[in-house]
Amino acid sequence: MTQRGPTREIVGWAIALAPLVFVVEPMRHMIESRMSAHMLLQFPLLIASGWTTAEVQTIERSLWWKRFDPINAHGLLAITLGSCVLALWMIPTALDLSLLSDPVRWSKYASFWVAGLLLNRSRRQVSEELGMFFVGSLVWMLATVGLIYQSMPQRLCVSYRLDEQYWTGIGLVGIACAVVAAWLCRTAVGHLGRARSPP
Amino acid sequence: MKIKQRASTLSFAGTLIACLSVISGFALLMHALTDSFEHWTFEEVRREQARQGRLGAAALDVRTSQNAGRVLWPTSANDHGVMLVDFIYTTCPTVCQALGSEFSQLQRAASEYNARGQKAIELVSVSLDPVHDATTQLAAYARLHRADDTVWTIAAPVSLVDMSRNLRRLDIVVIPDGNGGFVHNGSIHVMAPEGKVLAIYDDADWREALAFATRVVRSKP
Repeated sequence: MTQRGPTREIVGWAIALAPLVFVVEPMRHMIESRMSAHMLLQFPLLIASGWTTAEVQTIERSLWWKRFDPINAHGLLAITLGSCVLALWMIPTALDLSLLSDPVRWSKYASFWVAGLLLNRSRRQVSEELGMFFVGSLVWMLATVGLIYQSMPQRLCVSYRLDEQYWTGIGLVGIACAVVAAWLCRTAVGHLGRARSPP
Repeated sequence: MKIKQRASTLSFAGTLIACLSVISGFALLMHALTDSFEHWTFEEVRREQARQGRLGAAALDVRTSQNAGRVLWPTSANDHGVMLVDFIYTTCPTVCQALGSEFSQLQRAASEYNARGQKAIELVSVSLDPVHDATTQLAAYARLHRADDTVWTIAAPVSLVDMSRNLRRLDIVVIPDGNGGFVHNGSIHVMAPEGKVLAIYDDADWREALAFATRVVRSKP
C-alpha cells in the first residue's frame, strides 16, 4: 500500500484479502444464502477489495498498466466496465446462476474485483462531469432495482425468499441514497477547499 | 506538440474501441442470459426451456403412498398419456396443502377425461422430503386430499442422491422457508412419460395445465 499509516495499511490489506473468505465454504454459504448479505455486503466487499488492491505498490507499478492506461482515456473504459458489471449482477437470473454454477460464481467474484481495481486506477483521470454521470447512473440503477425488489409480489430469485427480496430492495435504495449523500459531501468539500485556497 | 496530440487522439480512439467492445460483450451476455432480453428471472428462463423441450428429468425410483415401488421417467404405466407433476412435502402447512386441494380438483377433471378415452392423464405428487415422508405420511396426505390412486400417485424418492440429481436437472431450487419448512420454484409440470417437461404452470393455473395436457394427449397418434 502506498504512503499510508500503519493502521490504514492493515485495514487496506484486510479489505484486499477479504474475498478469500469466500473460498471457505461455510463462510461463503453464510453470506450467499442471505440475499441482503449477498448483494449488500459481498458485492461492495469485492469492489472494495479490488479498489484497495490497486493501491498495492507492486500492482500500482505493474507494467500491465502501460497497456491499459492508453485505452482508458478519462477513465472511460473503467467506468463502462464498472457500469456493465454492476448492471449484470442486478439481474435476478445472473444472481441465481451465481449460486448454482461454480464458473458463474467465480466470474462474479472476478468481475467485481476487476471493476474495483480499474475504478480506483482511473479515479484521478475521471472528470467531475463524467464522475457525476457514473454516480448518477449507479444510483438510478440501484434505486430502480431496489424499488422493483420491494414491489414484486412474487420471488424474482429462486434462491431467496420473498421477505429477503423485500428487505434487500430497501437496502439497495438505502445504498443509493448513501451514495448520493457521499457524492454531495465530497463535491461540497472539494468546492469549499478550492474556495479557501489562495489564488 | 503534434506527436503529443496524435498520441492523445490514438488513445481516445483506442478507448472508444475498448468501450464498444465491453458494451458489445455485455449486450451479448445479456442476450444469452435473458433469452433475447425476454426472460429476466431464472424461473422464466426455465419455463421457456420447458416450452422448447429442453428440460427433462432422469429416472427416479419412488415409493408410493400404497407402499409400492415404481420408477418415474421413463414410465411404462402411462406411456400414451401425460403426467401432471407437482412437488410437495406432507408437513407443509401452506402451499402444498393448497396445491393438494388444486390437485383434488384436477383429479376430478382428469378422471372425467380419462373415463371418456383410452389415453390417460395422470397426476403425480413427488415429495421433496423423503426422510420425513414415509409411506404412512404419504398415505395420510392421500387420505386428506381424497386421492384416487388410479389417477393420482403420491410418492417419495427412494434415494436422496437421485432426488437431488433430478431437482438439479429440472432446475428446481429448494430453500428453507425460515419456519422449518421449504420454499421451491416450479408448480405444475406437464411431463411426457419419458421425463421431458412440456410446460410449467402456476398452481392457480391448473385449468390451463389440464387443457394443455388434454391437447398433448389428443395430438398423440
